[in-house]
Amino acid sequence: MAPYRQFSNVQNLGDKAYFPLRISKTSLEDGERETTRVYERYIFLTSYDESFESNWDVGDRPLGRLNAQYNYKQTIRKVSIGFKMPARNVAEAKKNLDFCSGLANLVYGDYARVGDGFAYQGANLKNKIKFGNLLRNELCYFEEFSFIPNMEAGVYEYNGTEVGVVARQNENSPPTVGQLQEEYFQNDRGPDGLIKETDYVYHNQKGKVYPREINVTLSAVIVVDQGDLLGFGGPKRGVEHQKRWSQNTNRDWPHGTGPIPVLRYMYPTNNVTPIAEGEEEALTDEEIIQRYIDERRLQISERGNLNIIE
Amino acid sequence: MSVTERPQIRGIYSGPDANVSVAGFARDRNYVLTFKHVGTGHSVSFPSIIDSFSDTHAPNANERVFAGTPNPLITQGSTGREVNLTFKVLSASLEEARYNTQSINMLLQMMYARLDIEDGKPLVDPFIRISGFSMLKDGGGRNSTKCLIRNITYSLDPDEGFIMSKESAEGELHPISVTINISAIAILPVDNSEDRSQPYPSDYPRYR
Repeated sequence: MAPYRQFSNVQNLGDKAYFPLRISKTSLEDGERETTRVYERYIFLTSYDESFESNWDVGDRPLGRLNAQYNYKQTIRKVSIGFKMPARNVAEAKKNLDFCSGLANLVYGDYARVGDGFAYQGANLKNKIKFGNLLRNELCYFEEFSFIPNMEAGVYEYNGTEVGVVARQNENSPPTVGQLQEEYFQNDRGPDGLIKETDYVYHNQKGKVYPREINVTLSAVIVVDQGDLLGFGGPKRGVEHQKRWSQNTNRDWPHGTGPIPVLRYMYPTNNVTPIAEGEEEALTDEEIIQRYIDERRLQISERGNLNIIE
Repeated sequence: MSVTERPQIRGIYSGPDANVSVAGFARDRNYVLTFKHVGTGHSVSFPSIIDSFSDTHAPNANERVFAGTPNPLITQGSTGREVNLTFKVLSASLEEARYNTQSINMLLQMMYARLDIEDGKPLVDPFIRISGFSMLKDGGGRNSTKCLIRNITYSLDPDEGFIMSKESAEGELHPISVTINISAIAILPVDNSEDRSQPYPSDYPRYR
């Protein structure tokens, strides 16, 4: 049978309508980034926050001077994501734990094998995170991973109760409930099989428990890949297009917007003629109204009349 | 001959279902919050669903007390102004959600500088003018406040639900409710008029 991934309802619904959280480990060799390992699950989102922190050098403010001298340094994008991972059977609980082991591993630094030992390579900036249109396979540095099994939700336990009275060949005692459920699930699961998906609730490993629900939080700094720049204008845009978004990729940033076209200032510039100040251009109705209001310093009253702002 | 492009001016949602969304209400009442990127002139507006607002004016002062004197010795440097603003962006349809996502993208991009064409280093710092909220004005005839935004937080509320789509390969998740928190330092307006005894406008800050 095909390896089990996730509870079938979640898997099917996810495949049709949602998207998984995908974390990839990559390596960078000869300037080429290659994916070396992927962790992927459908998750139950409980929180999602992004922050954009700008850093400025603030100069000394002489006595009585109104404003200090502010010099911009950089803007850092951080993301914090919280989610639940429920498990409807032992197999899913094990998969959830494997997934969490993989994620916890990402927070540790980057090491390289040198002879018999390891050389520390510094912060691990080789991972990518993808979560639909919110996180679009971004290179990141994982700041924190938190694993909290929800004990209130219960755990899947060992069950050593013997079934029947006859021992199998080469065995001293009859099989246990946990042993049988594991075997059936491995070999003949399904609605018409020996075990249904939700009936696999005991296992055969003494001393182990598998949580029915895990809460996870993950924090990361989204880093900019080599040669990429974030801002307006810059080297990837021509002199006439220095007000456009610097990436010049015809792609919304930071969040995807599906099939709708990007805004004018995001257009790629190799095939677009610039529109000069004072030159006519095709504006949306919205832009025309907003420009009219801005230029004439107007406001719309409650009755819909246009008034000049005091 | 090179030409300078017009900035992008992005208003609030006006699609076919705008009348049943909060955008229609905001348009009727002119509750429109606008952010303008000073370096490019691009501006983006949102229905102004303000969750919280604070405007703090705090002097940079040093107070010392001495025995036998009734008042502390106060040495005041200058006074700074910090603005904290939280607003919600609500979407009632997939079309509006995509529109809002694009608008939020534009706002988040405004946290970045205008770059040098040669080396890509910051050329014009990303100051932002905030206008449209009647309690945030500089006075002196200005309807906006120039700010240095230190932090924008984008939080979605899973309990409010999402609008999903798989029209594109990567999939789309648009929150019905996004909360945006802005923490900024306001740049104080200067009025050098001869009749002024203080360096800022007479009606600064203008709250009404």
